[in-house]
Amino acid sequence: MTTDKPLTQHINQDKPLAMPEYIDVGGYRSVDKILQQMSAQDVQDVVKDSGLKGRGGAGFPTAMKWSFVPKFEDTDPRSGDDKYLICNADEMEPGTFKDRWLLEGVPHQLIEAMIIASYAIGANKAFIFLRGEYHLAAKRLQQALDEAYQQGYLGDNIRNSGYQLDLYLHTSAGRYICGEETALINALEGQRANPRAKPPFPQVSGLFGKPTIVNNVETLCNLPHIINHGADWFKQLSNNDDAGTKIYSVSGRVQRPGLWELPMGITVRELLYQRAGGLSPGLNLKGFLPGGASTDFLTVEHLDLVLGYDEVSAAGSRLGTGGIIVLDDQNCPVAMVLNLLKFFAQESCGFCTPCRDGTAWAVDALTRIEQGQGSQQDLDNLHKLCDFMWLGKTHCALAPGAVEPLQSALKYFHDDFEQHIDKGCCPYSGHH
Amino acid sequence: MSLATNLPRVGEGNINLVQLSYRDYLSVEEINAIEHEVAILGQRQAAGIEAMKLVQKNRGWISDDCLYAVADLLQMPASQLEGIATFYNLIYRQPVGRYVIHLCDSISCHLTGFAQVSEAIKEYLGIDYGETTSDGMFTLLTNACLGSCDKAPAMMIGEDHFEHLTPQSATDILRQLCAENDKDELNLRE
Amino acid sequence: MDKSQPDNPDTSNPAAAQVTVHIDGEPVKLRQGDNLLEAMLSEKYNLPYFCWHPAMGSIGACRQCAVTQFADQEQQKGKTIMACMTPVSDGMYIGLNHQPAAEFREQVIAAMMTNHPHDCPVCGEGGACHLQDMTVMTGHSMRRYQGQKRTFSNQYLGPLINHEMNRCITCYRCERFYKDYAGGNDFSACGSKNQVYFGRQQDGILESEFSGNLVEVCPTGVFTDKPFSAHYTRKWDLQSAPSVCQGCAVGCNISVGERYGSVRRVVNRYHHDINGYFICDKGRFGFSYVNNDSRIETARGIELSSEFKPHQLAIALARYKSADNFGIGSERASFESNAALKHMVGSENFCSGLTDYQHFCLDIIRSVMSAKQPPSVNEIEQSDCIIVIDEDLTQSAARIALAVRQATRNAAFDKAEQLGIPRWQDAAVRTAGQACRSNLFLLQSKSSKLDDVATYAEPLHPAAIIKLLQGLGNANQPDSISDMPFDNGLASLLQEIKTALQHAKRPLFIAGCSAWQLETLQAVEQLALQAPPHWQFAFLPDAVNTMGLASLIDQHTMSLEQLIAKSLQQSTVIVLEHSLSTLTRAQQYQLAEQSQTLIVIDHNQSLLSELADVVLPSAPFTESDGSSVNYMGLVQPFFAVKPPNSPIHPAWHWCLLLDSTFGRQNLANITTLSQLRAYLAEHDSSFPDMSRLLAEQLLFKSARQPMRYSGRTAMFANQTVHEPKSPQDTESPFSFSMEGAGRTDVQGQALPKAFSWAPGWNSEQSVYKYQTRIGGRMNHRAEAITVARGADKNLAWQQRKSDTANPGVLSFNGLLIRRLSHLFANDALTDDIAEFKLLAPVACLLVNPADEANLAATSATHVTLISDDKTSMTVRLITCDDVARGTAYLHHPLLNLHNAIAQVSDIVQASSDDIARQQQGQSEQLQSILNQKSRALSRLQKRDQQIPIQIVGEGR
Ligand SMILES: Cc1cc2nc3c(=O)[nH]c(=O)nc-3n(C[C@H](O)[C@H](O)[C@H](O)COP(=O)(O)O)c2cc1C
Ligand code: SF4
Ligand code: FES
Repeated sequence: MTTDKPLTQHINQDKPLAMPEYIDVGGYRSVDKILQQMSAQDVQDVVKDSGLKGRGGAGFPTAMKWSFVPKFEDTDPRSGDDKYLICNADEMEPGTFKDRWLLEGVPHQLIEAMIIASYAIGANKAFIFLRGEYHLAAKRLQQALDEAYQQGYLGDNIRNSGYQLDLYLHTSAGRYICGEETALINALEGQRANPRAKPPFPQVSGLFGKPTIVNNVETLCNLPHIINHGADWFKQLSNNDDAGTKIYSVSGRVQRPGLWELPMGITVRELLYQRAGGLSPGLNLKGFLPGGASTDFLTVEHLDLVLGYDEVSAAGSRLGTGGIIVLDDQNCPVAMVLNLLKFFAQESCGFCTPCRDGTAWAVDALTRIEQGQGSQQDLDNLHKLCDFMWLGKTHCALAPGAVEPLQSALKYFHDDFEQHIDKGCCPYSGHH
Repeated sequence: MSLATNLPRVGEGNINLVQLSYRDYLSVEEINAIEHEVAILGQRQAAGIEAMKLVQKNRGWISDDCLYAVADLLQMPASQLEGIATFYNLIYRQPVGRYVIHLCDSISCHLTGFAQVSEAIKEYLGIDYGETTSDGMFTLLTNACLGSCDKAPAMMIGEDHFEHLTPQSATDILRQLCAENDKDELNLRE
Repeated sequence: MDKSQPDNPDTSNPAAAQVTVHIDGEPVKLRQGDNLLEAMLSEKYNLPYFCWHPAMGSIGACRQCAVTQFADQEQQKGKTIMACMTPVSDGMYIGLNHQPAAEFREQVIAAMMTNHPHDCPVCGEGGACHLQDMTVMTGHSMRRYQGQKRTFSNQYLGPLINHEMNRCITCYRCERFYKDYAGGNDFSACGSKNQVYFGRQQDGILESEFSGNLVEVCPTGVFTDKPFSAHYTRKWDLQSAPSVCQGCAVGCNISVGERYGSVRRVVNRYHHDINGYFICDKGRFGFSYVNNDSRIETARGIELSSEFKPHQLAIALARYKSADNFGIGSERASFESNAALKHMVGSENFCSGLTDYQHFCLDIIRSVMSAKQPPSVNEIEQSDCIIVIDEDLTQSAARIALAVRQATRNAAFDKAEQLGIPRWQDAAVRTAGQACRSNLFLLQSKSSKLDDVATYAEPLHPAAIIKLLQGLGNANQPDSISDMPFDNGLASLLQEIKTALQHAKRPLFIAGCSAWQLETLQAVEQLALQAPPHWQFAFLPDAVNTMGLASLIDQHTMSLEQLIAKSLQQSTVIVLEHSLSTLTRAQQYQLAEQSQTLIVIDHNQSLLSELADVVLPSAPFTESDGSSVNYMGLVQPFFAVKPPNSPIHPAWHWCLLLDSTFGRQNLANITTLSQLRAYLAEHDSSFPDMSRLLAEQLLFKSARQPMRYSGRTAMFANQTVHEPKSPQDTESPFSFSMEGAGRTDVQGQALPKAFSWAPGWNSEQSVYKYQTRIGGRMNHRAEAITVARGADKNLAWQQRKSDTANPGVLSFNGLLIRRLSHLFANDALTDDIAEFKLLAPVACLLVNPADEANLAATSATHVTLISDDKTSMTVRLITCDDVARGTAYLHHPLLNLHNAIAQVSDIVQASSDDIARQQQGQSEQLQSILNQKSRALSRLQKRDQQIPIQIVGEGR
């Protein structure tokens, strides 16, 4: 039995499936399959064929990432060294709440998926790095883990295959930067979560200096289905070149904010109007962030844009997490950007100069503009800061992420900025 | 730390070396829970964050003494643990109220009425962000996106999440917590 | 080039190929695999940076070192990269002055300035500030940010370091140095975003012995030199001279700064083989005795005007003339002074100032040095297996301890290399390396600050250490070592060390002299003489010029015991810069009473100088030229930073002046140091020809004062409107003025630098302009001269050896009581430094809990040590199991001044009176230290107003 909503078909937000029920609906079948019939390389090959790309924001091909884990000859003294799989469940990008849905609604699916990924890269220890605020998810995951251990799907000698995997839940102490995979590794090591320099990539020197793969929750959750139904099936799920489905979400002042698992490559219009019901009464669409807080604004003219990795990039933004945040015409765009930049300034780890001081500077300038005390100089500074914090100039992608909504707002909502300065007040005040 | 390499100095003045043994401070349960974490991670110092979260759960916040005790247990310098404690949002290095309100101030909430909810809460409690009510009941903090964007505005108090907030519902929740607390105290007294 | 040392171009990538990189269109040869920043700086480009440090590598935090990388020659647009994070590869096209990169670098400064205060005028870093230099270099001059600045509160970090966090630009260098490099654990980065705070967990004294390096490591004024700040002068107003630290036998190179007649500060002076970029706190702060009121400034016991002529001195001294003249040399006096004394009184009448026991020990050291060339500090850092023998290096030769700590990282570098991670990728190497460390065995009787990186650090009884050494030497019976009482598992430790040594490519043994334990040194000698060629041995004698003194010892040289045993009724005894603290008080009195005349030549008062008939004021290292010989036998010249104030003279000069009265008139015609050196080189086989180091350069005067030395004409205006003539320095290649082009030609460049400066680089970072490449040797460095090697066993000593016991060690009830070695309380001169007295431990006795029972003082807080002659000493009793059973460590400030307790007949629980007295004494001591500190400061400040003109007149 196949489905067009593999990720969410068994979601039950109120009471997720317990282990036996989950097994009844076909859960953990993929684990038996790989343990009995497939080598690690086989698993990697299927995933490669499926075209699965990372759903954590960057869209990097998953199998390719796995292939960077060094494969030592048996004679190499390092061949017996530990390797780690980490599930990035630190979802903290504003406007993004898809992983929460999967974690709370069907925790066993993630465990099943992590067994597959661990097996594929040869890891015997894996961690779920869960953001600290997701208490319900933590409870449900822990229960699912306990069940999986009891049923012999985790621990020594899983299903008598000789394969051993220990999977632990780790809850974070709260920090957006922990979502960045190398910062996450530092956090897991009990250190300050400053990102690490790359290279070396974590696939080579990650957790405790050992080869480590970090994958997003949604990315991983695709694995059981790819194993069960094959690469071709997975590819045909989508409307475009990106394989599979995607969990899209919409927030902001729309009629029906929420989450939907849909084929990769639907249009913005379909998502915004068919699923989310369009804007709330009396409001018009002014713009939107297509994939979370760290993506560039798009506007009304992009309604027919296809929500795929390449398509959104071509339009000057990023698919990111697929979480659309809608700006209506009664909310002040300057205030919105200010809110976003405050977030990034607040969550900057403080390691590199452009981000540490640049985001705070942007907040200062935006605050002044929003309060009607801004000047042309502030606007100039904002333009400069966009360049200053851009990719390659910072130590990690947080600051460039902050630049995306800022630079696009300066482009699309230029008049609003000018008005704030000219009028000496926020033209929207009273509304937002 | 070894005594013979850290001898008292002539000019130590009134700044004393902290000598606090974890055994005198942490409960057996806390120690066991932390040791469990150490066993999972395989390195003592790696458990620092988790250890502080565990201790904070029991004690509300991480006092200096908590910090020294955990550092002692994990055989790591207190200053290093301080560096970690002050990095993370969910570790409190100052006393907090019985209920810590984490009001989401991120974008989706911002777009859907955070400001009004925030005003209402502040007015109701008579405090600003980072402050604690004089009766020690509430501390008000902001929080980055709580992942309730489709049900915004949202807040988290302890482990409970509240969504679809309005100025009215938010203050109602606080009122109710006060009432429950009073009931608890009554029960305790009886 | 340095012939005495193999030129191993050391630290990174020795075999790296040179490749061609195009920088702004110009082809340049750079070393492949280096990071681009380091490679470009090696080629003397001006590329700003902050977080990178030549000794600590890259982390990519500040983003200041941005350049443009083009895909090829044609491409107009390139991407901005961080030079410090980019390995050099063949055929790179780099834009340094490319507009976008240059603009970005300016923006980085602008961003840092959003929070950096505008307090340069009151900031101690001003004028020597890396941030100022980089601000100018990037052209940032207009402030665009209009918001508020963040503010922090500062911490009290002890008497040495000031903290002003608002100036922080968050480059993370301080934390990386203090914690990662130097192993300190009371310091870290706290907070996050633009609120990162660097400091301690709470106010308190910084525990690291290397904390002073924060002053130089910090590119701005967050960490500044506290004593210097208290009596401050801008760097450009400092008169400076290259010098050598007098703190221990390592001989770190330093630059000393002076103004208005007082010495203000010491900074590191880069030396590739020795201190590199770092010195210890003793080196940085341990000079201030030269400013103290304990200085001897006039002659005592004779009538002598300050501008005396030699014959007037002879007349004044005539009445002290005696039949015999003896001279006592010293480990802290310069090589030249000791040699001058020896030649003045003659070999037969020269006493080394050392005990018999010290002689025996030194003889062993010299014998090993002749067989095995001692490794430099840099070479120590390259070792992959180190065995430290009965020495707390952090306390006795701190810079070596720092090097040993780095050496333990070699295994991690190797591991990272396997993963393709270059060694300059600092954080990545640490991640990949994890706890992987090269072997370090600390065979010691007390815990030390290297324990955290050691393979083995359990306290061992000294006898067990000797056993181990013997076991190591005995290849035929690999495992035959019987366990000692107290020390279990010795056999397996021996096996472990043997295995480690077998695998090591550059094994190294380090032994020291703070315990002067003959048997241990003998065991090391045994081992060294039969060791395979690649095993290295380093011995650390206990004072700056011990090896210089040792090389002057011949078969006639007397020990202290031999001298004292003589009947001195008809004799004049001349003591050279020595307080004879190995003698008891009674012995010092006895010496003074017995000898017909006791003449003390010294710069600071001591008990001995009080007892002397004649005291002649000598110039400390800051006021005289000379040289000292470090543990490697390396002869290192130091230069006066200011001329001495008459009648103060360098000790060697006093020897010349005394020759006509007390000497053999061999030195009659010598008046200058270069003449003396020439004479000595000719007449003393152990004194080298130093002209290579010095004389050639006399032609090229180099300025002691920087070009911006300001207000010179106004300096004495409150006393005279005539600008006094600058003092002439006919001796050294330096002038006491701003004049002196120096430096431009090859030989000029070969001079040690009086201060660090290069156009655009006012901070200490400018040194790179004078290095062959980053972290390499200095350009055109003068050839090194070594002595004290190749000496034969001194047979005269061998015969006397038999029955002497180590006078420095006490014993009681089977307990071996040793002097506690402590960096800030190791010698008599530390007693003149208020800051050090605050940092010194309280008077105490450290014992293992198991030995407490032996003391008849169980669970006492204080004990009293009693000797036969009824002298007694009450100290705090500290029991700790990081002291080996059977050993105890004693510290008391008096022990630095004289042998305050010659033997122990009993140790008892201190009476409450004794305790009260002891505590009273301690708090009085503290008060007097603080008084001393403020008195000294106000005296110096007052002197700034009334500088004796003679300082600047004809000083010598
Ligand atoms: C500042 C920052 C925050 C991030 N936060 C998250 C996150 O919360 N969850 C996530 O899965 N990936 C996050 N990422 C992306 C991760 O670094 C990483 O690319 C991802 O977990 C890889 O998983 P994938 O290959 O499955 O997409 C973040 C990246 C950055 C730069
Ligand atoms: S861009 Fe820099 S300061 Fe910002 S989070 Fe990344 S590393 Fe930290
Ligand atoms: S020096 Fe290159 S980033 Fe700091």
